Amino acid sequence: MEQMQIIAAAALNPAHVQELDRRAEFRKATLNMKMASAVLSEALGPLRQAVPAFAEQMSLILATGHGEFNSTIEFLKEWAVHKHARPFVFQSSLHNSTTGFLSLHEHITAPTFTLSHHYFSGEEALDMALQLLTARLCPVVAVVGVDTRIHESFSFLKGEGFPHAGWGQGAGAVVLANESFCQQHNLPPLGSLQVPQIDYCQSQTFHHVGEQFATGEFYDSQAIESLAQAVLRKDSSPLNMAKPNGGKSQIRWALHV
Amino acid sequence: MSIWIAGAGVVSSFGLGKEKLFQALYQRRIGLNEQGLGYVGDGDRHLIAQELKSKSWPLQMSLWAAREAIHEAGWTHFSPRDGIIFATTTGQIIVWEKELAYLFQHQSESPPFKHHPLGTVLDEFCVSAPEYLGFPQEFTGPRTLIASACAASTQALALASLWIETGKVDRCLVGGAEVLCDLTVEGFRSLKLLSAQPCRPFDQQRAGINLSEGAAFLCLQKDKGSAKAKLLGYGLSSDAYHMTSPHPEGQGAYRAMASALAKAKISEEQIGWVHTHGTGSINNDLAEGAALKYLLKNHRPFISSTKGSHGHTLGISGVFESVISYQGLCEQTQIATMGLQDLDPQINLSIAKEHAHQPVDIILKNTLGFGGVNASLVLGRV
Repeated sequence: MEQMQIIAAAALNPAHVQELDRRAEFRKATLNMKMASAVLSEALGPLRQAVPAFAEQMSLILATGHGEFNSTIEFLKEWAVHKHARPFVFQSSLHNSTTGFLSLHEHITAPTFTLSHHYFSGEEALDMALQLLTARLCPVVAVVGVDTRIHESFSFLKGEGFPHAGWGQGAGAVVLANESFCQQHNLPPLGSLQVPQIDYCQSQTFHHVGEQFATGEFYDSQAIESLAQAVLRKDSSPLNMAKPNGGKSQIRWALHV
Repeated sequence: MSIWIAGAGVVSSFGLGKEKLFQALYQRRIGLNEQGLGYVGDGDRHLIAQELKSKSWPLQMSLWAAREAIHEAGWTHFSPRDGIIFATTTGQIIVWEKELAYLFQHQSESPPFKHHPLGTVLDEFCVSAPEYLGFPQEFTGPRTLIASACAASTQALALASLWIETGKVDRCLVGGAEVLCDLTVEGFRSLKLLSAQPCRPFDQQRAGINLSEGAAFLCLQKDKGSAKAKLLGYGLSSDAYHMTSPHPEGQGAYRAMASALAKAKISEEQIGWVHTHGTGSINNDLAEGAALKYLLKNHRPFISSTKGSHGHTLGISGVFESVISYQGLCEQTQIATMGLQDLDPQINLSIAKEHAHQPVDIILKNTLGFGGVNASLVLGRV
């Protein structure tokens, strides 16, 4: 598989999360939608000017572990207690709702995907982007990773059997393109990405909870944000990530100078 | 490059196995209860649960359907060159739903979770499948989960095809499961989309959609082996129009179908059966009808929806109905549209009301989903 070019990256600053609530376009959006949209918009900023009809050519892969589960909980709570089903909450409760929101917001008409595979969601989304580019199904792919903290009122999730106390939240975006697209539009690549290496662990338990997880910084699709941050600070050291179930991954990318 | 379909398996409201499903459709039976919902029967539930008591209902169904597919494909061993792609919208939500209802109603600090792990909502299959399907304990092959609403499993089949094309794997088990639960039933009811009667796709008296549960899997491989069908092409697109309604002119659906035909190097005149998404909602019917009219021009293939019999299985509808298409190719039988009496005059197509036994080499299968995702497959006879 040929190496693919990284042409943009953005990572959400946690300090800016509350500011998202004040933006008119996010009035009815969930936190997942707000964070994903903000980070994708930031990544796409300069590209929109550089490439005509950029969004029509760009595929989107959204990686998320818990998806819109907070909306799901809200819907189920209202139903369980009051037997009242709220349509707007339901339509926001699907994992794919975030992707739908992004495609509407950015006018993306190329293929869009929602990928949700627990701790490896981010790595697998990057892998999928490379597959799409290699097969020339599209010339450019935006990969967005987003996860929000499960609703804090669920104190039971902090018990010993469910060590979600450390579940973090965040968002990151990386835009990948093939070489000919970069040359055609005179886009200087920031770096090139190799296929992520994933070591799945068959363990179904949380016995290998890592330090990062325990301190509340880990979230399922974090690999995208980690890569985006590395690209932004031009640090091309291999990204080695340990997962709470004992699995691990490595993402390698090369800086273009 | 040909992608071969070597095996298929399904659990449906008509019973266990693809033959039961196809026979029921051919006999024009309806697998929906008095509320218009398609539950798997108690007897079949009991049979499936006997061996896998500790697992959740969606996982039990998945493993049964996957085993049927693997058995037909003759896959007896697994290696890192094999992959697994799962697709769903509800996953294990039914487990969460029960426990959360207890929590909310009893204001408990801690609900009595019976199933572990529940770290995520969707991916129990990817964790458990290797152990229960005969993959080696140390199975390291690629796996992932697609959750792109009602197009999820069609996208999963496209991705599996891509994995084989690019050499990532030699074989891939692709499928998923959906359960009927409060989230989907009450959610769709709140959107005023549900019909208590069997749905009537493309009919001017349509009253909404039916939801159903089940599991379905296909075995894809790069070598022909004893395969009976081929996945010739796939096409994917997005509407960027509305969160829950397709583009009214079916622009996205048209682009998905056109790309699938282009990928398969097939012209519209070669299509023998269009197995539509055909949910029976007015927005879907009109959008898909407009897109098909634009695609087919003057060509008149057999066009039908099978959802009036089995209901809409949401995220797995693509693979579930591809199993029906697969059987249709094998038996050279095309299944008509149940419930269609008076064609909506806005649907400018000839929709089949009666089954047919025409020689069909090519089937076009569509799915349209919330969030504006469209996906189409081209299936071919061997």
